[in-house]
Amino acid sequence: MVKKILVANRGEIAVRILRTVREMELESVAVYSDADRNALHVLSADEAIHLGAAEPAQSYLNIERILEAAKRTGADAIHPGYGFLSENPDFARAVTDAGLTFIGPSAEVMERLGDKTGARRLMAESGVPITPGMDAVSDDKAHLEAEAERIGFPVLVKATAGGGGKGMRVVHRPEELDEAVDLSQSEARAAFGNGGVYLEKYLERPRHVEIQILADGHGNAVHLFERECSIQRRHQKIIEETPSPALNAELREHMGAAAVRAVKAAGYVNAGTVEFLLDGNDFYFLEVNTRLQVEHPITEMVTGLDLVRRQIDIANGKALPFSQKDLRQSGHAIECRIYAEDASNGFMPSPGRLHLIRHPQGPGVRYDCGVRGGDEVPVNYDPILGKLIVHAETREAAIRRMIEALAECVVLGVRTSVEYLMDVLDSDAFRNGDTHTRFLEEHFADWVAGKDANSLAALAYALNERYGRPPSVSMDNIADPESESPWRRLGNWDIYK
Amino acid sequence: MEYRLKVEEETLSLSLDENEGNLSARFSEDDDPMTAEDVTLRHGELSFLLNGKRERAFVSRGDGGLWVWWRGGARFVRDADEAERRTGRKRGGGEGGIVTPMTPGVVARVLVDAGQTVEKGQGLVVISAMKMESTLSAPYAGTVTTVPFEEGASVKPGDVLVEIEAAEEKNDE
Repeated sequence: MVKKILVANRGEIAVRILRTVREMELESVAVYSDADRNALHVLSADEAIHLGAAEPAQSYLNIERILEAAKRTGADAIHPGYGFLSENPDFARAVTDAGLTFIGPSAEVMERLGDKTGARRLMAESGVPITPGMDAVSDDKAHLEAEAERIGFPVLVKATAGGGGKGMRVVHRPEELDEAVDLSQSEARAAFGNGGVYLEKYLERPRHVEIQILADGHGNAVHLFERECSIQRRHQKIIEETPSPALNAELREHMGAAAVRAVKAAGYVNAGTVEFLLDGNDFYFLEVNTRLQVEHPITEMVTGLDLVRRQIDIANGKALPFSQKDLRQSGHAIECRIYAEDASNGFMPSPGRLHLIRHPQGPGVRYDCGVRGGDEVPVNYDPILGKLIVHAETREAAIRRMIEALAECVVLGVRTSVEYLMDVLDSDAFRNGDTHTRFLEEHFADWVAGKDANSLAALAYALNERYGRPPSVSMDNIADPESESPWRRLGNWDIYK
Repeated sequence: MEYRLKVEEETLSLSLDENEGNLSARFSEDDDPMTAEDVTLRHGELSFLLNGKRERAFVSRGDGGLWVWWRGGARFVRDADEAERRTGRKRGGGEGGIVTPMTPGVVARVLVDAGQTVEKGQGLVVISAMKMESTLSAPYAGTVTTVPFEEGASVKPGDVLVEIEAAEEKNDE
C-alpha cells in the first residue's frame, strides 16, 4: 500500500489530486518550478520540492529531477496528473524502475496505446472501427504529401504523443501542409518531448464522445458511461457534459462495450478514456488517453465516484468494488474550462497578475480552481486556471445552473473566456443539444462581447471613484466632500491591490 | 461629476449627479437619468440599487484603470484622457507595423538573420505563449537590420523582435 504520493504536476489538477490524497489520509508531496514557488498546489501538499527553471523541460518534464524529489522525500508513489509526463512511458518506466508505484497504466500499455498510430493498428485488429489515415509517423515531407493525397484533403496533422489538441492542425490545401507539419512537430516536441506526427482524415461535423473506463489488475474492467466533448475550439475542449444528448441506451451500451473490449485487448490497468468520433449512429475510435482526463469531474458527479481514489486503489492492487450492473448515471453534469485567454481578441493567451478570484457556490456547484488572487499566471504553461462543474437533475437545469455559476466566477486581472462560455450555453443551438466539433466555428466565429456590461462597468467606475474608501468607514459619511480628494482616493487604492 | 471613460474600445461619457444624497447617472442628455441607491463597496464587491433593482459588481485596480466584473463579463475601464495620453506615449514616432508580440511569451524560433531581405508577410519569429505557438510576420518588405532576441528569450508587447529597413519601393498589394 502506498503511503506517500508525489504529484508530478501543477495547477488545478495537482490541487484536485492532493485533495483526495489528504482525504485518504496519505502523505503528499508537491513539486514546483521557479514560476510556481507560491502556487496553490505547493500549499496543498505536506511538502514541496523545487524542480528548476520555469521552462517545462527544466521542471515538470524533467524525469530525473522528479525522481530525485521522490527519493528525497521518501514518496513511494507518483501521480502524473494530465499533460506533462502523464502519458510518457519512459517516465512510467523510470518510476517503477526506481521501485516506486506509478499511478496509471504501465509503460508497456502506454506505449501500445499512447502511441496513437500503434493504437489505431491495435483497434483495427480488435474490430473497433477507425478513421482512415496513416498507421505510422513520418518526418519525410514527400511521404506526408503523398499520404495526404491518398487520404484526401482536409487532413489532420496529429502528434503521435499528443493530446488536448496540442500539435494538431487541420490542413485544407496541399500548399499548407509543409508549415503545418513544422509547427505541429515543434509544438509536440515542446509539449510532450516527442515531435512525431502523422495524418488522419479530418471528419467535417462529428461529435466527440468518449467513454471513461476503469480496469483493475484482476481482469475486471467497467465503463463509467460517456462524456460529450464536442464543444471545441482549435481542437481544445471547452465545454463537456454527460450524458451526451446524442446517445440512447442502446448506443451507450455499444460504445461502452467497445471501450471495455479495447482496453481489455490492450491489457490496460487503471483509469483511462477511450475517445470516439460519433457520426449519426456510427462511431470511430480516435485514441485512448492513458491518464486522468481534464473533464473527469463530470463523470464523478453523475456516478458519485472519486476517480483519483479509484486510481490509487487500483495502483495498490485492489479489485474494483463494483461491477458494471452496479453503475448508474444520475442527473446531468456540465464542465466549463476557465482559461486565461482573451475571447474578444482571437483567444490570445492572457498571462499576468490575478487581482481578484471568487468561487461560485450553491447546490451542485464545484469549482476545481488552481489559482488565487495575487498569483501570477505564467507564460510557460497551459492557460487553464480552473474548471467549473455543475450537477443538476436535468440537462436544462444544469445549463441554467452553469450560467448562474459562471456569472459568479469572478476572475479579474487577466482575460478569460467566461462571458463567451455563458453565451454559448445560452444559445438555442446548444440548448437543443445539436453539438458537433465545428459548433463554435459555425455559430460563434463572429462572437463579440455584449455592450450592456460596458455601461454598467462605466457606472461601477464612477461609483468606485465616489465611494472608494476604506471598508471600515461608515456609509453615513457618504456626503463627505473630502471623499472627492484625490489624496483620499490614492490611499484607498492600496486596499484593493 | 462628469466622466469620460474608455471601456475596452468604447468611449462613454457619464455624468453622476448628487442631489441631497440621491445619486443619478446618465450617459447622454437625452437619456432618462438612472438612480443609484444603497451603494456599498467592500473587499472589491460593489453593490447598489440601479433604478430600484439590485446590481452586484466586483472591482479591482489594474495598471492605469479599474477592472470591473459584472454578470460574467470583465471590463477594463480607464479615464479616456489618461488612456489617450498613455497610448500616445507608447506609440512614440507613430510608425505602424513594428514586429512585437501581442502577449508576453518566449521566443521559440528565429526564422531570419540580419542582412536577409524579407517579403511582406514572411514569417520572422515564432513566439510560444502558454504552449500555443504563433508566427510574427514582416509588416512590409525590406532588409532585416537587427534581431535582438535569441531563442528562449522572454519577450513582451512593445519589445521589437526584428527590425526591418523598408525596401525602396513599398509593395502596397
